[in-house]
Amino acid sequence: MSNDLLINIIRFLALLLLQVLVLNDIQIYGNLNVYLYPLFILLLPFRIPHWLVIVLSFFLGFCVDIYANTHGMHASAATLLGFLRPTIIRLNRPRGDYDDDQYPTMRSMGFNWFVIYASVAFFIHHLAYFYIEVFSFQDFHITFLRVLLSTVVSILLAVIYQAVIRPKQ
Amino acid sequence: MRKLLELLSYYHPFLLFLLLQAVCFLMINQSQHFQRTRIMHAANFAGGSLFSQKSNFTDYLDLRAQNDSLAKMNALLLDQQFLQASLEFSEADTIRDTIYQQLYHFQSAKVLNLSTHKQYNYMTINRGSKDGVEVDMGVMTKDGVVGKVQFVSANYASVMSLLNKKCTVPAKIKKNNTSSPVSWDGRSSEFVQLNFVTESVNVRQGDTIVTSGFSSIFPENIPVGIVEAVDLQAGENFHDVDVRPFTDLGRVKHVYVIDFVDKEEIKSLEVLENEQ
Repeated sequence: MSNDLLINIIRFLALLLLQVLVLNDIQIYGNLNVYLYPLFILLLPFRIPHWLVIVLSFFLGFCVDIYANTHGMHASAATLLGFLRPTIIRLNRPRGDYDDDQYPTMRSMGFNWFVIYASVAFFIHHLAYFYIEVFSFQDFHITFLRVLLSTVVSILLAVIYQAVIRPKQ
Repeated sequence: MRKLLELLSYYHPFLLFLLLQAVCFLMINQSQHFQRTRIMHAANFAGGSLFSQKSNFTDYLDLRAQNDSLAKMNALLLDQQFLQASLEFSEADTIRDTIYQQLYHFQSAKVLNLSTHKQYNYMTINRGSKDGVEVDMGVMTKDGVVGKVQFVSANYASVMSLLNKKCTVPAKIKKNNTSSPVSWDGRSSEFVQLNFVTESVNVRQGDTIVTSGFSSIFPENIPVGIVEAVDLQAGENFHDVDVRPFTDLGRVKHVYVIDFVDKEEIKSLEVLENEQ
């Protein structure tokens, strides 16, 4: 348990720094950005209470907001993801339910499960974030295209991150 | 109390979710109204110091390009100095009037952090109220306009860049002096837009856009950008004009903050005007 705590604290800091120092500076086609920090919310252990997921999501989003000058936009999108996480996990249940010693990581649950899980989660987060940022449905299709492209790149990065960094839990 | 909170939050994550979303939208709303809460001020300081650490490191990566640009700037200044000297010599016995008074004071600053991918883009610079930077001062590079100061703390200031939907710069088309504000529609970070150019105005691709000087923020004739595309939809009264800024807004490192010396005086005069 203390091992889980340590891993998650390190992961929180690592993803936060990676986001604000590196990824926020990387832009693809001028107007597209990658947000990898929701991966922290995805990788929290299965048995963590729902309210704690929401609070941690809010806190992480708030920290990203501070450094990105976005005033609550990331916090809002992350809180939404934190709130919906148990639903995504329940809907994506493998045959025969989850085991007690499993974690929502690629290493523990396999590639297919993780990609479906991450796709839904990143899509929800990006959809919320980009529309809150634009704050109108005026250029609906342009924003939607940004959401889709950004989601694809974020999932790709999440898979690479999981393949490279695999702590023993 | 703690038991109650625990009970509430354990059994009703939805309530917690709603509460936190309310907090988020409160923050978003605050920023929409140009005002930051105190907590954001404190946070800005934390952000500023982290980014100065980062900037300390990344500054080494493009030293060559920055050196070139500074050398060019030096050459330019030297040129101007000689020009000025010859001017003074030839007009040594004319009476100096207000035209020769320096109306603007320039102060150099370093950009610590910037963005171009958002709808409201800012950059953080390492000058603040301690150095005399105030809200609504103009910011430029040697190439042209960058934006204007939006928030100021003791040591840092955040600058609203041209790529910010709230930023409007009074500008004009250089060749025929038609004034029209420049702002950004939030679509592509490569272009800003020239607004309210009526169909009778002659504007072509390749025209230069400069500041109009109709405000106490920028002096006249600071370059803004070059017209890249002009489009007139049938039945519309205004041209759609895309302008490519002269400054590469994604790679700015050294900027100048412009302080208009008589700003306060002019403002108080305009207040009187409005009261009439």
